[in-house]
Amino acid sequence: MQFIGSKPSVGVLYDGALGYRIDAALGLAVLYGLDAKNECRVVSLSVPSNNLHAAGFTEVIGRFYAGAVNGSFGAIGRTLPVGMATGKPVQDSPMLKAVLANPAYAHGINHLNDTADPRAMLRNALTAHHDQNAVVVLAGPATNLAALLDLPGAKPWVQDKVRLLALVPDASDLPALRKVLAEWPSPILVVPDGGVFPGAAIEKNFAWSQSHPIVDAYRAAGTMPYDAPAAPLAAVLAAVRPDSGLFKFSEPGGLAVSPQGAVIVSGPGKHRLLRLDPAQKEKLTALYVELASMKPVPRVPRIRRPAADAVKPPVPLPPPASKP
Amino acid sequence: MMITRKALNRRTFLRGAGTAVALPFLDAMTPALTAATKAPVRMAFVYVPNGIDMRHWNPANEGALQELPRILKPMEPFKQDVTLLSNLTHNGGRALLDGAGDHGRCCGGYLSGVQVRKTMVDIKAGISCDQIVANDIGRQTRFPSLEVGLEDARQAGDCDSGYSCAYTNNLAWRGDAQPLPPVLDPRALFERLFGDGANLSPEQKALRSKQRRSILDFVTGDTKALQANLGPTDKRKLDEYLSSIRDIERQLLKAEKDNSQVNPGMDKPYGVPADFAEHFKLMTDMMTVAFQADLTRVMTFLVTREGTSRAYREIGIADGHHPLTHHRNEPEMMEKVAQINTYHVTQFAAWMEKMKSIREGDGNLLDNSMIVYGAGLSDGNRHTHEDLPTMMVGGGGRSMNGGIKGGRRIVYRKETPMSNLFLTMMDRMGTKVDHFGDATGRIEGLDLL
Repeated sequence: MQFIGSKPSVGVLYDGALGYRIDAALGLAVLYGLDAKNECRVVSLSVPSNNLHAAGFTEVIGRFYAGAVNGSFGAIGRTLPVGMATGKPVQDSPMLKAVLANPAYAHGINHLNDTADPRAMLRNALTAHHDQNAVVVLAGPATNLAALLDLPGAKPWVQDKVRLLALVPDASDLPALRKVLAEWPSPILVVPDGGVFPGAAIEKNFAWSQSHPIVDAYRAAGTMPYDAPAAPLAAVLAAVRPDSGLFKFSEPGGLAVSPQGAVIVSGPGKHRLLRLDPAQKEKLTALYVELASMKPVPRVPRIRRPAADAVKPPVPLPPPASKP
Repeated sequence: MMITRKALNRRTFLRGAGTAVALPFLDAMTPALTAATKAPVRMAFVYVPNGIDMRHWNPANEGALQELPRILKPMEPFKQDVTLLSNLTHNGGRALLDGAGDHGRCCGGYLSGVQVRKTMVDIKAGISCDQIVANDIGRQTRFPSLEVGLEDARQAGDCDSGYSCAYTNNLAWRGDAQPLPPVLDPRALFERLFGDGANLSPEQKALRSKQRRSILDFVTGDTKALQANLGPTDKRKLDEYLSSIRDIERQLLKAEKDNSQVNPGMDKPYGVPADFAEHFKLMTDMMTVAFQADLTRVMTFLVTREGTSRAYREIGIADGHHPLTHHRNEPEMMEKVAQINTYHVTQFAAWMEKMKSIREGDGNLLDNSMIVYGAGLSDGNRHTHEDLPTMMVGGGGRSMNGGIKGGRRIVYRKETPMSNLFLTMMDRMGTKVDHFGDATGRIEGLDLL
């Protein structure tokens, strides 16, 4: 591999229970806020549930913030697909129904082949990174990450490229969680608690947009007004801003799953547990709101696009495939 | 068909001075009243450069093929033999961290699924899937594999932003640093297939050269003896086969004669026809014979080198292919690209027609083949490496025990590695490999039907 130009900001691979957990959606909103500030790049999005609407919901958020799902593996001007697990199908949630019923939110995911195999997605995204310049944020079942570990040849990529896995424990796929905790090559930061996201901000700070998928999802996910859990938001912040001073961390150690399904630090190892700092609570909450409610910022492609490409608009393609 | 207890050996040759002509698959090679001998399955990879105008490649629907899009139109008569595979990706062709050089990467790693090293000196790719199969089954045929091309075969120098010409000018790789250059000269290919007369006496060589005698003249005795023992169907097959060899020889002589008269100073091998379509036909005619006579079961065909700026004056296009593909969405340039793409498929379709016309067992040669036609780029303007244009033609052994059901378009999930296709094809060739390139598994739809 050759280094072309300067090292880019850290790439973030986000895998979460989007469409089922409002905190996962809020975490993604915070991530796009940091992306807009050029502090990181969203380079992979995937969902651990076998539900096309969950993948569609993810693409809706991606399009809202980035005009497309965002990112590039290095090829110029391409958008990323959404990775989706293919286990037992999962029913729609009220959140999914509410958001996808709104015609303002267009997405292109109607069939399985509109999505990507998450193992290939995650692995391919890593191949485009400088060593130790990628982080993974897991805000849902560990299904996809466990599958990635089983993909031949994938572990060395994780070893070389990933500097941190920020993980919000989710015991709904316990075997996968245990596998990831036992086999994931990079240091893991476990984020069991991130405080709360204030529900009042939904009405106030997002008002700049007439239609906002995060707002619609939030309203559908609970009875307003309510404050949402914020562990994925803390995981994103800790992964992208490791030296922010907003959090405290346990001493390094190994990880295990308790009989109750909680992740605990046990024995020697390189992993840590994130702990909230009561002194930073207000600052943290304000930061959550600021980042999650940021307006989308158009990104200039990091790699120079051939000027000629922009000379004329593309010739319209034939109508989209009508699939049986 | 004659009912005999003894079958003709599959490895029978017609021999003459310095010449050995292999035979096609004949009924007489199948022992009567015993289990039928299976015709072998063959695989070939046909590569075209600079991507393809995907607006005219992908049909609107998946599933059963309806009317084929413009570029694929020449394949309409063989639609039921065509399986279009969509959404296959070569991640190793992408820049990743290596910057410019998509043409070098996409071709150099096309059949191996690896990202090649960016260099002009210490080249490094990976063993290609055709060579994995050749290593496994190559001893069963006279040639483990054949590598054929129609253009430049330089192996050194910078052919794309710091990528060696070895990457853009070869498809087959025997090892990480061992490309197998394609044979470009029809005469060289012919002599490789049928012998160059190395065993002839000086007098015989001189006579052969002077008289431009057919190799078939040297095997007349064996031919007559064999014909006497064949049934009418086999006699017809043998006649057709020998006629096709004779026809190739005529084409060779014509090309050599034309070249000596028209353009003696040309910097291409003596026997290369000036006309692209003629060159394509001559080479594919020989490739057909090589498959038919089981001289090899594995071939690669680099139609033109990746990144080529060849002009196609044969169809009125004086601009270079590569510059045209950077069309900036200019309709006129895009139209020319589509014409070149269609022109390539037209030549390919003629080859497929030939393959299909050759009877073998209860089916035809195409039924027992897997020919992949494709490119390492999809959009040549933007250099994209996903949804690569990929067409599988043939039944992969259909006439024997089930095979690939054609007449369909299969759309895989996004980011599905092209290596998955190659791994599946290796399975069908009987070569079992646990892992290959960046494969995540096998692909569905090419399994036995």
